[in-house]
Amino acid sequence: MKALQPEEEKNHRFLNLFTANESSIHAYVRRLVYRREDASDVMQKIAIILWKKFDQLQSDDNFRKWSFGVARFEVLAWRRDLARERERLVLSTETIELMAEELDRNAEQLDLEKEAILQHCLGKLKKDQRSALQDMYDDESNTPALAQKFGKSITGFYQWIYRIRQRLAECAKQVADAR
Amino acid sequence: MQDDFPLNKMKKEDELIIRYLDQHLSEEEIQILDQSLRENSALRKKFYDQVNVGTALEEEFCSRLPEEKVISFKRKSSTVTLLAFAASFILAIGIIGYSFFNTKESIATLASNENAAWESSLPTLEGSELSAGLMTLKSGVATIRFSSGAEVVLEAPAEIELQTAMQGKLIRGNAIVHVPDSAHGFTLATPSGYAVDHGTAFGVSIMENGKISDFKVLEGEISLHSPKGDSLFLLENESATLNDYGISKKIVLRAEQPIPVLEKENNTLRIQTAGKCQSIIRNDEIAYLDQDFLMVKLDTGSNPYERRALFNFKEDQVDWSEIKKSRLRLNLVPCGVGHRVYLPKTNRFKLYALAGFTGVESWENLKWGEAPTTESATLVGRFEIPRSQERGSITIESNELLEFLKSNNASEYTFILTRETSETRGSGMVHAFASDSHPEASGPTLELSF
Repeated sequence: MKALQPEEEKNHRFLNLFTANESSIHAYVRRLVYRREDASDVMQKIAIILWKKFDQLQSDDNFRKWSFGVARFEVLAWRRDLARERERLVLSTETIELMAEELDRNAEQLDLEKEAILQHCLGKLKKDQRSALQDMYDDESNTPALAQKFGKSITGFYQWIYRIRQRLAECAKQVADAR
Repeated sequence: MQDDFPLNKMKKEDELIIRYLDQHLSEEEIQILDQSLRENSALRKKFYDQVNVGTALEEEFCSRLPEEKVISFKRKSSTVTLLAFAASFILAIGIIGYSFFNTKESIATLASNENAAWESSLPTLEGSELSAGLMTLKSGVATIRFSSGAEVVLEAPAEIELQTAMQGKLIRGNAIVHVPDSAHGFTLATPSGYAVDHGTAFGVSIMENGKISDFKVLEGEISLHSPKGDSLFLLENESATLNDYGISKKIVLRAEQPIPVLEKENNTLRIQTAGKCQSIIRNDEIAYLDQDFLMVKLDTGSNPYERRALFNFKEDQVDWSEIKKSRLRLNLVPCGVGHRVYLPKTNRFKLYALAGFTGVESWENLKWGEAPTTESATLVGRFEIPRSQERGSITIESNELLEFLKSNNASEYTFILTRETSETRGSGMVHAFASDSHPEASGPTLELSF
């Protein structure tokens, strides 16, 4: 057994809790923050705040709930900054608050569905469906060029992508809800 | 997957969702979307589905980590805030770096060892921090607490691979998994599929060949997933088996016949029970008894499954007052009912004796109310069994026993065996001793020396 200094033990406790919940918190943030880069910025802020305020956590069992609360606050701060800068358009605070609340309640189910997508549903995609989805995550690509590549109008391309994603979501629900 | 969805059925709002996520909306459109989302809960559900698929796609297609940006210069915050932000982040990196690079990351703790013998390259002392790796439990019971809070109690022989704070793989053996709220989603893989825990306790056994895994939910619910992609939700008290063919729910039954034996040699006499060897259950639900076992359990619940064992030795050819030594032997055997992890670490038993005919003629299907009571009997012995012990011979050799047998000089004696310690929660293990019909171990034996 290693004898740990109190500070060191606190670091360990924090890291254990944080790493155990990180992917859940990240997914929660990502559902509310639509840009990947923004989501990782927000996530960094959350990590720091969780660490700074770690002493305020009453019980380790509450870590998840507590971290989601911090995350929600930081997402709203992100939204406020974005609106102030007027760099990009974003949904209203009221809508984001409403969604943050509902997403918090459904986080476990959504996490399960996310796993189902990764483990089962992606494998069922047709080749062109998969490659269209993948291309959208390529930093170099833009939607009009992709629409052209797949022989669709911009509107048609968006609709096509939406439907493929909707099918994935339906597949995920079937897998996650299977009894 | 088909995408033969007619284009004209695509709702305007649905399209707005995907364009919002692709940052392709006008100010006017975003207001429409915003209002629709607020008013329409069905649309919000679609939105959640779309963003959730997005998180999955991102993991799939952007598996390389996004570049770490310590400070985002796009922010129009003051320099002071930026510096504070940078400083605190470096602190955080410092801590994370310490854990990741200076030591192997600890993902679990070896919470307890009970008579445990290990074979592993990981530390095996109680309290040790464990990193990812393989551990083999040769004997005893041990508890591994993952840092997510999930706790796995292993019964030897068992082999487990610790993978992450949220995932382990049981390669063989039996285990009980407890998952507190902090570890919802904890995954226990087995050679034939995996279980995702949704905040529960469940038991899992891997059969000898490693190809079949049995799951039983003790509390809450789990989902089982086979490698073929099918899955099943299991609720409290439900069991299922995972194998190469997929997932199936399970039921088990069994029954046996008694075989009496009597043995005599030199100046030692060994007496065995002649079919009068029976368990009783307080609620008289005899389906919960098994002729092969003398089942013993203390249960103080409302419909108590408390069990006691009764056995009788009859021998009218000897002078009991002449005996010099007496030993009662019992063979502890596993009966497979309940979980040892729900027992206290030490379980205490009491043995009572009655001299002469008890008035019970037929021992078959003996009811609790018809059986002799401990109040009418004499306490002649006590013993303890650690919960980690699975098998073994128990010998009771007390002065009380010897005196009782000698002074009564009866032609038959009846013993009542009780467990004095209850379980720490429901579904605790039922202790079992071989009855005289047990297929392998011998039943209760009374050994007398003259």
